[in-house]
Amino acid sequence: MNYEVIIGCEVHIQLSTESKAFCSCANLFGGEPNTRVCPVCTGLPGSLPVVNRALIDGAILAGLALNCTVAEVTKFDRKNYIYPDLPKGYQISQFDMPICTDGHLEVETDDGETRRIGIIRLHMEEDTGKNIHADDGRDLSFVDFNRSGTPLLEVVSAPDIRSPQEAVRYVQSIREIVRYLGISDCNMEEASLRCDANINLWVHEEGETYATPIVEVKNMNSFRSIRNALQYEVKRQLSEWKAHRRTLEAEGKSTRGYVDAKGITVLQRSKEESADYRYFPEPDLKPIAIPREYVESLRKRVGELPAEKRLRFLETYHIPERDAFQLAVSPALADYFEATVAEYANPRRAANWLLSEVLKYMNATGTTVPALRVEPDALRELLLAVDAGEVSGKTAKEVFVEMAETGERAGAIIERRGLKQISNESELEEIVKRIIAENESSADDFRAGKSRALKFLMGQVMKATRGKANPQLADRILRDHLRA
Amino acid sequence: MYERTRMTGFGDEVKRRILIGTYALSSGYYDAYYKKAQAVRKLLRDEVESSFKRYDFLVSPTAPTPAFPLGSKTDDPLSMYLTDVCTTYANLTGLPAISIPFGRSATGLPIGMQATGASFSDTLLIGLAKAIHGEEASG
Repeated sequence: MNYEVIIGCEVHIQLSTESKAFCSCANLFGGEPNTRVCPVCTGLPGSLPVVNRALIDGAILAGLALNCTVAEVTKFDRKNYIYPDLPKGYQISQFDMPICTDGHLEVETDDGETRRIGIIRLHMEEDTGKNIHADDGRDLSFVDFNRSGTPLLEVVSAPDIRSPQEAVRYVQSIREIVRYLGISDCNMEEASLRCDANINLWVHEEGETYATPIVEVKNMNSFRSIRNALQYEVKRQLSEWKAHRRTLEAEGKSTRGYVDAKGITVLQRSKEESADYRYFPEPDLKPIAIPREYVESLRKRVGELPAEKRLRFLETYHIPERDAFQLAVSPALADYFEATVAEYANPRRAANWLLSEVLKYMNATGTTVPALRVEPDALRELLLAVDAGEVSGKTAKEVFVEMAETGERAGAIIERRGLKQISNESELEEIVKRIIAENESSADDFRAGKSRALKFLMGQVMKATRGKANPQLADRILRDHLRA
Repeated sequence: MYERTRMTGFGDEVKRRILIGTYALSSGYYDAYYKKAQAVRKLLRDEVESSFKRYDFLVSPTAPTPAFPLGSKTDDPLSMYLTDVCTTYANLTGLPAISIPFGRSATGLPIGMQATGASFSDTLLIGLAKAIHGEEASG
């Protein structure tokens, strides 16, 4: 007997728009309860929703980045159910005419191959408020509506995912893309990224294939939880199958919640208890026609996505994979790198510098790439100076910091502070010959096998040049002349 | 708490309407009731709207009978609903309508005249009301 794991994911993304989905309350995280509310997001009688355009733009951008078809006409529907954190008694969502459909995302499998995960739909909806249960023993719960009405995107994948780890990678990819687009912080800790998964097994026995009942797993609040919850489900469904042989046809779908502390899932809802949401078109919001020109204008904002950029960096610049990864994460840094290497023959050095010295400086001073006073061509000038041996790598690091603080060019700083290394061979030769002549005993020691003598001689050369001798060059010339 | 609020906070008629609406939308009945009702509504609207190509207003009594005594229809929801029969079509078609005081019945109870106009003809309807009734609201 062997089996396949079949997983589909539903990911909810909270958009970081200025205001909420259907009212002008500020869209922010946290704060004193019920301070960012209004009649619309608390569902008071007579209030009417108005669509926030940023919600639509966010949905189209995400849809384009996920290779979806953007609908020509889309509308909102009411999803009806009763719960204290749902003030209107319905959630404004999308049912049969979602804004985006038929997308896909490439994800790495556990074997290092690539699998295309289908994206069935991407739609817009509003978030609910938050229930807070009294933690002092009283049998009381409170509702905070600050979150009510926050714009959400829901992305539903096809059941193409084949392992718990793959599911994690899928969600991570979505997160990377959405953050790259700048439309959400996508933080599982702040619940701006939430994930539910549908999972079952296809068991192959003696030429027959059986599907186990589908389980919807909820309450996975971190990437680790997603992996643990789904791994637990695989084991549980397998032993369930062995014990009772219940199939999907017979049993349908149930809902289980993950309990992080115990690493298990527990039954929340069986098939019989699933809700009838009685979807009907939202009468307070007109259907939205999306012109193709509008979609195209947004497509320009999508640009090159991280995965494509990484690949291109590897293939074009032959930099280490880890560097390509890091550079591709931030659009600004990636653009800076490309501007630097546009007229520079050593991308590896440029990448290395950007990811060590430049990044170190930016992190230490809280500078962003746009605010950095060193332009790509200025950095290039410094790197060329290092390549030409004008300054040592060590000195260059100091020069960079001064460039960043003052905006002065590398050449000017090197000149002004007299930092130029002596890389002139004949000049160094003269000095080396003199040092050897003045330190015959040390020279003999070295020739006799005492390698420490070389260090002493090098020190003398450095002293004579006030530290300006190009170390590599001086070393070579010293050795050449000592051998003679 | 939630259940108790809704049980005592909503009157019978409200509960009735909530249940009817829920039923009409529920799984398996959506097509037969809600969708069909929307289709009928569209037909109704198209038909009424087309009459405004020939006429400025459609006129009818606001209610089929003069006011009835309190409590006389409370036990009969259907006959209660029928008292709305002249005015519900404004809601169904989404067209503007106005009720204008128009004399009294034989027993002295007030009678209303309803005028309906084409989409966005609200100002015209108010003009009609003023013309028939005079500038002041009735006491």
